[in-house]
Amino acid sequence: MGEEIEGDFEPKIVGFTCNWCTYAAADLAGTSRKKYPPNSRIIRLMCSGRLDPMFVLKVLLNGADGAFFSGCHPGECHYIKGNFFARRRIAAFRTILKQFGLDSRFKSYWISASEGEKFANTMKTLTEDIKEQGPSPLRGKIL
Amino acid sequence: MGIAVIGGGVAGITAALDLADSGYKVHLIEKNAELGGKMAELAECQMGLSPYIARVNNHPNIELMLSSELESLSGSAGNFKLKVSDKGVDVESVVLAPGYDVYDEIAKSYGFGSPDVVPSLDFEGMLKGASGELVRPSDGKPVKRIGFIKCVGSRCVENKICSTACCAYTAKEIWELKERYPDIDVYVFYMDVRVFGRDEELVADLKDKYGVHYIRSRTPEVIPEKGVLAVKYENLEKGLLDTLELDMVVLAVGLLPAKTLGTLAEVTGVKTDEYGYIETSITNPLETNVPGVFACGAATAPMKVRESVGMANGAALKAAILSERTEPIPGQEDRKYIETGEEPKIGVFICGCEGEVGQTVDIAAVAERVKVLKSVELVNSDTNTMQDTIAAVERGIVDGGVNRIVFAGCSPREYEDIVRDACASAGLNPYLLEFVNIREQCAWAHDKATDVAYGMLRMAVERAKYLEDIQVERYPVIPKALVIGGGVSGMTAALGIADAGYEVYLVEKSAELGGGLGKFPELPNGEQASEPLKELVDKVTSNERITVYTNAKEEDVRGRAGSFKAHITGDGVDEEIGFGACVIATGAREYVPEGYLDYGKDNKVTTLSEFRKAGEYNAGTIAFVQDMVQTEGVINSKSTSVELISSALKVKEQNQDSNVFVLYQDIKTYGKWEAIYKDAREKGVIFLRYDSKKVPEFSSGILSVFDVILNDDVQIKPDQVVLSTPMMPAEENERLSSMFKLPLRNGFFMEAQERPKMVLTPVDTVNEGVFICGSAVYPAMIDECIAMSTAAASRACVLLAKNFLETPAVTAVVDEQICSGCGVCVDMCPVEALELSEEPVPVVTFGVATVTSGTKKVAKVGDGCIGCGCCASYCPSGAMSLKNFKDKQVYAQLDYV
Repeated sequence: MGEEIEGDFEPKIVGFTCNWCTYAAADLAGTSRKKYPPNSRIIRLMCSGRLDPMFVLKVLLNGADGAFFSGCHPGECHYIKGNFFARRRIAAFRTILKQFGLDSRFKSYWISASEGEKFANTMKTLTEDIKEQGPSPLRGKIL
Repeated sequence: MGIAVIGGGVAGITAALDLADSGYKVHLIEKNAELGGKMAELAECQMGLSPYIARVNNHPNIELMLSSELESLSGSAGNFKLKVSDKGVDVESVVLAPGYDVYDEIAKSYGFGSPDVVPSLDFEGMLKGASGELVRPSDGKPVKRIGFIKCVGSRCVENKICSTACCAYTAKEIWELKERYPDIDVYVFYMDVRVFGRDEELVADLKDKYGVHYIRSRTPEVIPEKGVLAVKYENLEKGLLDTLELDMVVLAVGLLPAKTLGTLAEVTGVKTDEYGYIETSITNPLETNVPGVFACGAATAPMKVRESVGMANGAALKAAILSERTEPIPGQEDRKYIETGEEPKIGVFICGCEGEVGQTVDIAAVAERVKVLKSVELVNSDTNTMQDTIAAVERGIVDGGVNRIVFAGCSPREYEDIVRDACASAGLNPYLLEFVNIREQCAWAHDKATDVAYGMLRMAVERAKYLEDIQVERYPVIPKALVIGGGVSGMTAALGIADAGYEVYLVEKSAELGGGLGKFPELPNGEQASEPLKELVDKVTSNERITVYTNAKEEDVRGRAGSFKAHITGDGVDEEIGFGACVIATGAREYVPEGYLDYGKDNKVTTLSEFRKAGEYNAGTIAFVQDMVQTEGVINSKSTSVELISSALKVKEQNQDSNVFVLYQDIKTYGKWEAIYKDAREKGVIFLRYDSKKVPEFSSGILSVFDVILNDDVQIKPDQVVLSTPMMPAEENERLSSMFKLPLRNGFFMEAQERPKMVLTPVDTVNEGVFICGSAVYPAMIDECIAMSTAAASRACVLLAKNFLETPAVTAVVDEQICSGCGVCVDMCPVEALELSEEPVPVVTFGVATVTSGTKKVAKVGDGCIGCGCCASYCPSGAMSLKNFKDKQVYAQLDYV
């Protein structure tokens, strides 16, 4: 990251997904040939419970314009209750992000493996949203 | 020799994999050019099934015969000679799984032919394909009102029986529709809602939370006119024929036996029943009339995926017992891994996925850009198929000297395990592989994907640098099984495992074997229960591989799949046992309907099971009441309606002049049982349907019910009132659930969850090596219990067939130096695999641990770790980490997004 912005602003977004639900939903979106903007990169974690808020912070401080997290619907975790942990700590984490003014750049979703369509639509609206917010204030800065 | 599996749909695939995984040679014969059968027609189902298909395609023990048909079969069990598309195949046993076809002669009266009237399968495709609003096929206008008509081409003159699956799949479609388009009004025209278990909850939700209108009426006609569909139906509230104008109509089309089944039956000599399905019996649901030929799936009766797969597992075991194990089990050979050294040498392998990736990704350009990245030694982008790319990986490891692999191609959900295996057999630790999904999440998702593909590979290369060897331990499998529960399910499972050659401990909590069935003189279909039960008990008690413990209880279960330990106490025993797999078959118990219709106060009122136990069918006026008892924590048995109607029928048959009433909300005579419902009506059993808001009442000898079809009160003066009761989970489920760490739902055991949600492993649980079956999962009919418990036995045998298992690779690890012993991880571990222990603290002097200075608390990772990583992300001191997902491995990618 850190390169200059040329022409239209194309945001960089990093997503953290659990292996069982949202990663599979992204696969399903592809299998059903749902097109969505190519701005997001997905990091596969086994469970939402592995989402360390530091990952998100690192991404945003690195200058990514947006970040998202998505896991199984609450109550449907492959590992019994990992997504409840994730939900709880994201709520706490947001209070920190607010102080950085980065709260609006981090989104969280619940997308199950059968919701390929929802995944593609989510990527569309997310990319639009981040585009509207413009480049991250931290873009190109070395912290 | 080996086993022939005929049909490459979900049932065939399941049976083939179970067999091949336990070391049998399998010939999988499919008439189409591709595997997957009906499930492959739906994107979502195909997604769930695709990892299984990939495994079949790459399994060394499966000989795949696509575009092939069985032409002849001769010989007998143990020595069949098959001719398959001119090729000779010798096998010891045969599994038939030809599947179903949908009813395709839809009557014109349903408006079929109008583009806005679609069969349910097509609608599912439409729903998946719709982006934005759901529009009508005819004029592209948004759909505002939609109707679902059930029982199209089932429960009718042409197809007399009930197709079982339609009620559930319609509910699922409506749920999806309502989730996405909450404003669309949905009307369902139905005769009876025949859903069971969890689907029952779904339908209740649809009615209450989603506002779906369920209208009970067999729709006589749909008339397409002036841009709307006029649906005629019987309005019971008003008591007249009404019309509803809808934008679209979905027909829930029934199932028929596969069109090829007729020929198949002729070729194999297998008997079919009057409806054209393969004939099996209620106590032998997997066996056909030809010894050595077994049947499973929707070719034996219409059913859902869950039951199909269960039967396939079971049929596989039955076939295996007749066969000789000839092949090695993959992954059981000795493996030695090369020393990888410090410096990463990365080999990047890009698979073209048969041209799929190349359509939107310039693979050569990506390869050029990747080549110059630091540590990349080798880039291969010339291969276009999985097999070729895997071969290239193996060459890269053996000849190219690479010690990290980045593999780009299809989704890791499909092929990661297979590529890992290839790495391992080429001598590289399988966890030095990083998979990049440039097909599903790149080439298929974007129009111009070259940059994306490069970006993904760039991240993967960075991550690959930080990958570490993961050492797994191999431990021997104890070739014994523990079966909990001595009912029909438990005994069937025990016999299955014993017949496959393994020792079984059968633990029954009461003094005798027999369970629920032991209490009844008759099976649900009216056959004598005592004989098959006695036969089963004799077989179990005389089997030298089965040790039966009665009045016994298992305690203190430890260990993991392949190597469990438990303590058994009971009649004259107090011993420690070791076993590799466990089958839980605790069954269910009846709810006592205290207070319903004066049950317990008036001795005229009995429960259905009491009535059947007494076996006296000579009442003059008798009323059977169904669906009355609804309360928390109970579940309706799948066999209730069948048992109730066969009892009613029996009363009528014994005494022509008797007055037999059935009070009900939904008659759930699923599948072929529909025949007894029809029979009962014809013989004069009177069916009165009541509404859930106005339930029957019984006082001073008069049973009054508001019949919704007559729209009036009916009063009966019965000699006897028989109340059907729901089931409750067995008492010990709670205890077993916490001992084996299995989740319960309404007190019944839950199978392992799959994503997307479909039940391809109905008897497996989250705890590997522990299987569930019978009414412990869901109170079902005896044939289903037998099929499911044979399935559980089959899955257990797949595990027991292995000489050793490996400890799971992706687990948490603790850096004891850093661990402060705070215990956060212990509290949050979902499977209680962590504990704090006192460890001596070494005093490190000049880098050498010399003496100990007291102790400190540190976290210890136990056997149960499932690798979710919750502990790693919560650890405040960074001492916990998850192998393969360590902080540095994740951060490495983040720097190069």
